[in-house]
Amino acid sequence: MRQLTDIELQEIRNSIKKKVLYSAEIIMEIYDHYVSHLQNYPEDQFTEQLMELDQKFTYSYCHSMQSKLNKNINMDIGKTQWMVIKKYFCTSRWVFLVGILAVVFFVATQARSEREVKFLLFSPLALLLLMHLALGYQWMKRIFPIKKTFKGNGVTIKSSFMTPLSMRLHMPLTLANMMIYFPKIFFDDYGFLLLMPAAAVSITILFTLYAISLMEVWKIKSKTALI
Amino acid sequence: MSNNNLIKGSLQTIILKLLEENDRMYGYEITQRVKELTEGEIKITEGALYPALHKLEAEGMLTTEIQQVDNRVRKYYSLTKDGQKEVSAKMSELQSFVGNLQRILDPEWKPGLA
Repeated sequence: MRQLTDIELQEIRNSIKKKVLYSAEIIMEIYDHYVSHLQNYPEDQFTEQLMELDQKFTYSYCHSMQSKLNKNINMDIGKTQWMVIKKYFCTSRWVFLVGILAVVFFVATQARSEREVKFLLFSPLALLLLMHLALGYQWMKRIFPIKKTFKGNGVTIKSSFMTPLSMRLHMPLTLANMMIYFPKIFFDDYGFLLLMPAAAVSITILFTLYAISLMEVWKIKSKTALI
Repeated sequence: MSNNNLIKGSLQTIILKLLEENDRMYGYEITQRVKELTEGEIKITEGALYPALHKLEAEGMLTTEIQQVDNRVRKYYSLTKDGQKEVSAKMSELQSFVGNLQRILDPEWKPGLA
């Protein structure tokens, strides 16, 4: 095994850049495969071996792998979140769940004015917004070395975990917007349903459970993924 | 017909078995290990390996670990608890298939006979 020269490494990077991939996970895995393989061959066989690798990792194969990975990650995040939610209802975690629900219920009973109920409703959404900012920061930090290595890739490099997580973060925010503005079409006093304490508490509990479970998914995935 | 067509259906079992024997492995290492064990008779194609690894990861059979190696990032795969359970199930499934195949090819064949 030998150390590849800077020129050889640049050739490998150029070869991968031609595939115009955006998934950082796929790019880093292919790059590692190329380097690990080429390190086993002498300098005079480098070009030939690189061409052989390019024939294996074709444009269409890499893109198909990228799209399959995205699909698998989306499925994986959904499954993990559902698993986390189910765990909250297990005997070992029930104290944790009851604690959260008790806090939400207590805060809800304290809410008297319309403004306080609105604060209650939007508190889990604020949590999601904060999580989005933290996720963006951590993602930038982890993805930066790969982006720097593959500068001029043609498309923005991002983690395959980023889109499905962002979508899940945006979903309750969109839902909350819809709940607020959609009834406005039919009712003059559109907020009356939302501002009923029982409805507000139920919605807040659902949003809180969703936000906490998503945060836990991020915590689990951040140990192994580029997010 | 190439070996590749024959091993396609057993690729997941091969990956799980290798990871059971080795604590953690990366993609290229898996291809090289198979080549080494079979003295070059079986070559796992990259076209099949990575999608299989990603699928096993999404199914919760494998977990990954990212490590910095010589200015690049390497992704190591290892078995999860579910993956460890799945290895024995997949192995007995494959062994039973090979046994049945053997019986079809050679009706005189008895399990345990060389």
